[in-house]
Amino acid sequence: MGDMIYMAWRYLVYNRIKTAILILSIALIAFLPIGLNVLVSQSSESLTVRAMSTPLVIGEKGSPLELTLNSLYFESNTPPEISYSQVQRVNETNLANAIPLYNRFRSKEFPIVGTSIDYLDFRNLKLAQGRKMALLGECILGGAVAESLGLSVGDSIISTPESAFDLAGIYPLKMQIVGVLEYSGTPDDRAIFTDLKTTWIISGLAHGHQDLAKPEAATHVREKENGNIIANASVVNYNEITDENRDSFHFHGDPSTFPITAVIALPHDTKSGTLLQGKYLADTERMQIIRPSQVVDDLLETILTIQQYILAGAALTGGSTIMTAILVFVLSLRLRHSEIETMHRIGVPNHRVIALLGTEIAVVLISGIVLAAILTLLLARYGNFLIHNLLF
Amino acid sequence: MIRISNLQFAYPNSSFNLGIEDLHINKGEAVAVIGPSGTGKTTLLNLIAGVIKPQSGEILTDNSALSSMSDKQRRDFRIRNIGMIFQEFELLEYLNVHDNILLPYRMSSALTLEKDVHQRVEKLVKRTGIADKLKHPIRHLSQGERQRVAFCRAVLSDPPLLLADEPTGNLDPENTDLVLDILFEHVRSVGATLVTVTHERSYLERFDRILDFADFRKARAHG
Amino acid sequence: MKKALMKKTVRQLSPLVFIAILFLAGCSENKNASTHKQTPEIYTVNYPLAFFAEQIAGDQANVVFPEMEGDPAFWQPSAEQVANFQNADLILLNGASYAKWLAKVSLPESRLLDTSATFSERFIRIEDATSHSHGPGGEHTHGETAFTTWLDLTQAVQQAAAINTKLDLSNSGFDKLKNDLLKLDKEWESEFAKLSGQPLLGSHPVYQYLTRRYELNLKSVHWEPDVAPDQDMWNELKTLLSRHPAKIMLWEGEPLPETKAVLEKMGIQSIVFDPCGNRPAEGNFLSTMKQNLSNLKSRP
Repeated sequence: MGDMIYMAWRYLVYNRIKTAILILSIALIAFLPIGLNVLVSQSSESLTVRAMSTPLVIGEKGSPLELTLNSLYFESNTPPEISYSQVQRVNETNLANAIPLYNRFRSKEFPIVGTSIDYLDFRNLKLAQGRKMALLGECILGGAVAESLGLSVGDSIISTPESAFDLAGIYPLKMQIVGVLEYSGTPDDRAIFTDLKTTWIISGLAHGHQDLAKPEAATHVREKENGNIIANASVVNYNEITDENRDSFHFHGDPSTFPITAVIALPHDTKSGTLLQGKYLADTERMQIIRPSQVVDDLLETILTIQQYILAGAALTGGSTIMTAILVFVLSLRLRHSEIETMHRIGVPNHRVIALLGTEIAVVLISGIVLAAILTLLLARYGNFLIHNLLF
Repeated sequence: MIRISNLQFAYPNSSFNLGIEDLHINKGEAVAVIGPSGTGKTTLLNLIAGVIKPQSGEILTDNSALSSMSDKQRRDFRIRNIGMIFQEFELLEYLNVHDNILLPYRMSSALTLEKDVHQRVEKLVKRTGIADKLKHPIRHLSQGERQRVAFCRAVLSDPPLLLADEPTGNLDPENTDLVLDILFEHVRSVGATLVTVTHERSYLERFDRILDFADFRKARAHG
Repeated sequence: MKKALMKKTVRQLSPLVFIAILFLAGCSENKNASTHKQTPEIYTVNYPLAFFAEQIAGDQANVVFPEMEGDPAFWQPSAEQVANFQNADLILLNGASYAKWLAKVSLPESRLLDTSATFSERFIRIEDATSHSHGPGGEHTHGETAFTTWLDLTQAVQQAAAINTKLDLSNSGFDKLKNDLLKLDKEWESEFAKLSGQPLLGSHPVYQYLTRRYELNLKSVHWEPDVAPDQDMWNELKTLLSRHPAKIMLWEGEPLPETKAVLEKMGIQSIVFDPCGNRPAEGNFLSTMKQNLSNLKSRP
């Protein structure tokens, strides 16, 4: 047996290019369906776990999928904004606790999620270092954000302006990092969390400036009449909230009209959940309430259908690859006719010749399958990363 | 060593046929088989080796009736008792010199690769002057060197019978002499029987006996 | 095809369901653990709420009103102090825009209780705040809602009731507290009735709800008990007195003797009426409110 493997090995090494191509094509036809399966089951797993742990989400009527992707996975486009009063509306029903989400801004590629610190408890997120955000302008980073940007507690991070010529006065905000979360294996790893009010500051709804009634601000005051102070454009708009200026930050208008993108509702029990859903059924209702597990189930069904088509395609490709491999083998048998004839004439038993050829095929097949297995393991390890970079 | 009587052989669907009434080759005898192409010289070697079976008649090789053996038995007999040398050398390109010489041992359970085999390989390659090429691939060798490798492969198991089919057909005169020297030195020293098919008439005097197939046919025609 | 898919989905999901069940089981365990965790911790943003909670819960809760210097309404907490609030089981808010710092920190909304939510339509707006404009927001004021809600003792009862409802204790001290507060309310009512229609002064605009509840004719200046008023402030007072000839000024705390003396010369008597937003040096909320009453009664 050792001799057979040795001989087969020598032959395959001598014909290394042909061997490599054969191994690669066998690896690929094995890997394609297996890898696809791994990828789909992995993505469906992470999608489903997340969806099942998020009972209800409320957002403006529109695509439930978009609302789910944005609110649960921080992906997809920003859904239309709704007002903060929707949070109060849920709380007032006494059927559920409401957690606001304002998921519109980013820092580089990472989403800045404006929410309440209830969110951290709800997702069971633990701090690897530091503390929860406590003051305006403080934020905490998901584990992957901290790692990929090389940031930790004490550093700061700046929100990315939505456009270079923003006339609405949206200034990039420098936020202090006060905590870094442990890895949770969820989209939370790739998010920056801050208080909802801090995201309102980014969106220009609150700002800090010197107290215009104080004498040191006099140079900025254009007119002062009847208690109305009109400032000129030199009023400093802070892009960083510090201990010194924190007190000067204030909100303009009624916070209940301020924007959020979604409300996560945590019903007190199953019945409360059903009752809450019932409150959003009216024809005139401008909000939708969705059950993410339902949305994800529908999505997965679609993905599985697509997977069936891909698998059918893979079967066809696989079939033709196998036939090509057989052709290659038959042709190489012809080329080796004189070798086989010589073996026959010097007295090598037939079964030995067959065993040699069989060993060669086996080595190629096994190598191909091992390669496919390695690729699959790699995919299983880095699949989530791939999903993030390819799918969204 | 070899005794052939009343042999009749024909290839299916072919007008070719070979008939030998009586042929006797003694142990230790070196016989050259000559004659025009298509007269069945190579067929004779294949019949002696048991690669093909005659339609009738009897061949005793080293006192064994090969035609009554099974295919497996004939192959085992062949690999143990007969060394074969070919005009095209028939070496395996994907093996190096060393592995080509060991091929019969690797490919048949009739031979066992023991320690003394390696010592024999060493001696053989030294004697044939290819000791420094052991690890070389075949494509790096000259024609003469290739035939020496083929010779080493044929005699490694020390067979009592050597069958050579045009062993010098692809060699220049210098290498022809070299290979023949090695061949004859070997058969003489171990007392092996040698049957060589050849076109070359220049070195026929080295052989003990010359079998001219033209005569065979004539004899048959007369008979 | 569809059925097969469904089957496959179910098969693939079944381990997930299992994980989810484990997860939920883990959660409920945590919940149990936290309820077993000694007595619940209640944080409050001012002293009156802490007093109410203490009276209602007794030793069934650990009520914490952090030490704050000055008026708790204008407290500026450090991040560590906010973190303490974040870890509380319940946070009692006064509402009515009390405690400006709340708008600048992150607190767990699910554990916040706005004790004045039930009467939020009856909040009093302060009209004389400075407005200003700049940027696209246009003119706006930083005007506020009057927040010393508890000086209307009936409102204090409502705030205490909100706490009581939230705590939902079998052994509650609420009824006694309510009786005490309402009894005092009647006493205040009858005492203030004697001042009906008479112009009064407040040293600081904190008496809006007191004014409304007990039907006072009170106008406020912006003085601090421990700061001597400057000439502008005296002039402002004189202007005010010309159309509002008050003889009594209510102070949040004991005023400086000089200020008191000058006022007395002007025929204005100083009476301490402590809103008790912060923890008093001695006594408690109820005793301070009773002291306010006797201060009032001791006027000549």
